[in-house]
Amino acid sequence: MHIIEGFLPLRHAVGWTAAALPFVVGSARALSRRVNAEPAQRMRLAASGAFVLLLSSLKLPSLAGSSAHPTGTGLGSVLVGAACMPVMAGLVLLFQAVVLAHGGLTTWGANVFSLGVVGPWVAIGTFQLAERVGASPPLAVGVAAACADLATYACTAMQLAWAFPGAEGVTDAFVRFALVFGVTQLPLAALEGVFSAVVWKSIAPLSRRRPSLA
Amino acid sequence: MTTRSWLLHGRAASAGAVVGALLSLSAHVLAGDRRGTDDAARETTTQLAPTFEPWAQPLIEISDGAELPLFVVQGMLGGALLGMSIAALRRERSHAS
Repeated sequence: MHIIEGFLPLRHAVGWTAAALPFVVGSARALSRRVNAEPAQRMRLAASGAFVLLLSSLKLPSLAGSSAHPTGTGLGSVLVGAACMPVMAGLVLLFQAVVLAHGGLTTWGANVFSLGVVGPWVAIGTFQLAERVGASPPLAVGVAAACADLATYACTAMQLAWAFPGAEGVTDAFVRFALVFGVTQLPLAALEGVFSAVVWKSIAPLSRRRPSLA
Repeated sequence: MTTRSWLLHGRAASAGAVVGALLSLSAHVLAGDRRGTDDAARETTTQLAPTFEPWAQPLIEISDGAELPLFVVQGMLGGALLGMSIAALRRERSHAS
């Protein structure tokens, strides 16, 4: 889902950074409050950040001869809340931009918005909906993680379509970008869902916290 | 933390680092030369806006050969931190019960 360095027009890069920054700052404050109020939460927060770091390092093969990275934000959102995820996604994206030349500093805001804001909120919403319709917690986590993954890439497709509408307009460009990501990402999202459910099963018995936005 | 818990956490972190490195390495080997979606999106961008020129370049240039070890290091870091946190959570839980 990384938009490559320099691949967003300047005003879009600035706009997305301005849109992402309040979430990152709010997220840092939420993390700080959480750790001060409940020091025992530190390890759950660390596990969530570590999962994003681990999963985003995996370059997985997919259909049509392509490859992509899972996101890892779905599990973290369910474990510690969507509000804590922007700062974690921001740090992972900064690490990848500076050390791996993956993504970029000029596209950091846009990438944080898709990975750290849209994905986690979709994860929480999906998790709560899945539980309401009677899904077991591991199934709900798996579905939430898969939907977060897809939502992250859908947001990236929207960001690129908005920046590069072409002659046919934003909708047509969105369909083109969504197809580029969708073919690869659908099976990977399912895989991420399974992996997240497995890790959830090893962490959930150790965690008493209910999933929430905060 | 006692010496024993440091050892336990260190062991969990090491195991996590090994698992993370193996996962990252095997995923990259399986992916082989498959084109990433980032590159495919770049190609679509070029088709939609042929005159657009990227206005910034990455801070560093990473060769194809260097990309794999760097992602493996990232996988190791993620795995180590995940292993250590799960070990710490287990320890907290066992102390609480």
